[in-house]
Amino acid sequence: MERWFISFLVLLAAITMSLFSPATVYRSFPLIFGLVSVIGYILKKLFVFDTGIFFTIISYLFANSGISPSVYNLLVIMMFFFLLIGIWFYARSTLFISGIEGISSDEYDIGLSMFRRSSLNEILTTILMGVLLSILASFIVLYSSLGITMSSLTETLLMIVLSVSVFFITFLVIKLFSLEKIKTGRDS
Amino acid sequence: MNIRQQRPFAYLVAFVVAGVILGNLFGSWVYFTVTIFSLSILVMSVRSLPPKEFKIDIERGSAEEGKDVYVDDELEITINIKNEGGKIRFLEIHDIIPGLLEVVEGSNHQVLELDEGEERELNYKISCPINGNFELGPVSLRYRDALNLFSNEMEIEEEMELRVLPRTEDMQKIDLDPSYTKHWLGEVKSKSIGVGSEFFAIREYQPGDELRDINWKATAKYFDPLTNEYEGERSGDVILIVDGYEEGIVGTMENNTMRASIDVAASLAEVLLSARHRVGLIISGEYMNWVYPGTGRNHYHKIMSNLTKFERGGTWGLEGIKWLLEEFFPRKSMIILVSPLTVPSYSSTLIDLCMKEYDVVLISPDPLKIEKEVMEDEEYEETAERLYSAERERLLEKLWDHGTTVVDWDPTEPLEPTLEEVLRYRHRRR
Repeated sequence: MERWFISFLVLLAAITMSLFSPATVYRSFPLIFGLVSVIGYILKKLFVFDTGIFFTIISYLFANSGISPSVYNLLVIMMFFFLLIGIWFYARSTLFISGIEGISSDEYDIGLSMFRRSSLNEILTTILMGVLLSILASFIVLYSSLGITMSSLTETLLMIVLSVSVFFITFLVIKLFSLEKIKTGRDS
Repeated sequence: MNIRQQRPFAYLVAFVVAGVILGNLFGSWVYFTVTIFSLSILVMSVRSLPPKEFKIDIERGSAEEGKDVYVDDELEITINIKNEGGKIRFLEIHDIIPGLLEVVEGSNHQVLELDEGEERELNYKISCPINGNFELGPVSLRYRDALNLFSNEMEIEEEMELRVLPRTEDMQKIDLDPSYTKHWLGEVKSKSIGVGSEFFAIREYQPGDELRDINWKATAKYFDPLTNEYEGERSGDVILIVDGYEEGIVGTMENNTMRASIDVAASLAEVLLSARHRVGLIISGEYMNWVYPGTGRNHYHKIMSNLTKFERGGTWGLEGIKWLLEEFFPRKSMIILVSPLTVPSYSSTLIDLCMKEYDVVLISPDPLKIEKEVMEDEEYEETAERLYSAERERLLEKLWDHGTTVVDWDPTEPLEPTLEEVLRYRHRRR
């Protein structure tokens, strides 16, 4: 169940990234590489999955390389990057758990369940802190290096709130699904 | 212990580098953003770096430690883990076991979170489908952070030796006695007077006779002390020979003629020693191993130990064994050779042994039956099968004609019924 959900998330993120890209020839690249990573995840081929995610992000940047430097565009790119990176880390964690062989015992269930919750919390905390640091760093870079004038303060704050809200909603959805009883052994 | 970077770390660094290169190459600000984002994650991940050192105390034990473990027995392994350092999150513990052992319950691989001073127990059960000497351990520990960017590994040299003995078949009903007995006490009835339990005759009392042997009824009748005489019960020497010649072995690692031979030898050793015969053992494999004939429980363990540590291989054929028998083992012993008889030269050596007054019994596990079991549903060439069966039958008949007692055994079935039938025929022939 969890495996299919994460595959769906990756695919959904890849589709959304393609849709949010300008209508050029390269628009479909994030989707193609997203499919590669989904195939790698389903087949439990870690290298294929990792490489697929890497090229999904790079191809998304490539497809969007011509967009104008604005706060809105910056936040959209940031949102997709951190969303995909967060899913990537969590997916690797589930692959690692499914790689641990074993037959059911209560202690084993509890141990894995605790590991799963702890790792999810840790991933989300790190991602969130990364987002905050990125926002700060990006604004500084944008404003100081590229000489872009910022839009009005209200619009800027609204963009920040919106992007962080999207992130939190995703976090809540993942957390809700991760609360179901963990099946031992390989993912079913 | 060194902190190592894992593949996700490499990918994040690749993002940083790619962002800078592509940003400069294409003159686009978009690529620089991924550099900033990746650097942010790398900076934040430092908070979950693994500790440089972690102090873990590991102890492995088993409820069956010190006891004999047989093939397919389940053995419970308990690993006590104590954290003597600071709190450790995401500690991966892997108790390394040989590939031939199977984990039947629980897991030898777990992830734990240990507080300072916390003690936990890891339990799992293993089983071994083949006999031999095995070593469990070491225990591998790895700390991974939640993002799997870094890891720290260590190995704890906590080993445990495990000896898995071959499973024996219950063959107590088998009447397998050597033709030539020796003068020591046993269970084979000799045709002479001696120490035994079967009544033979009465004779006049002689000084030195045991009081318990006096026949009081006859003494009262004839007013003369009379003593019972008994039929002597003797035992003989039996030499078990296991053929581990590499080229003659048929089957897979777990199911082959050699494994069947070892199981038979172990079962026969148990039966013969319980009948108070002196049992010796010769195994030809990687090395030529032998155990000189003896009796008793300790001797049985010695034989089992040699059968357990046996390794196939080598170039010692039956000729080498024959030389060893003639030079170092008692004459007129019963020889029980367990061999699939796939080496053509064995038949002449066996005939030669019969000529030299050895009482030879050949128990031959049919390699064709093992091959068919291993191949399962695969197509089997009927003509080749018939040719081989005819050749084998001809060879076994030839050996019968020259005085060898031959047991053509299907190793997928128990040995006792086949052996019983052959021994009945052997007794009738005599």
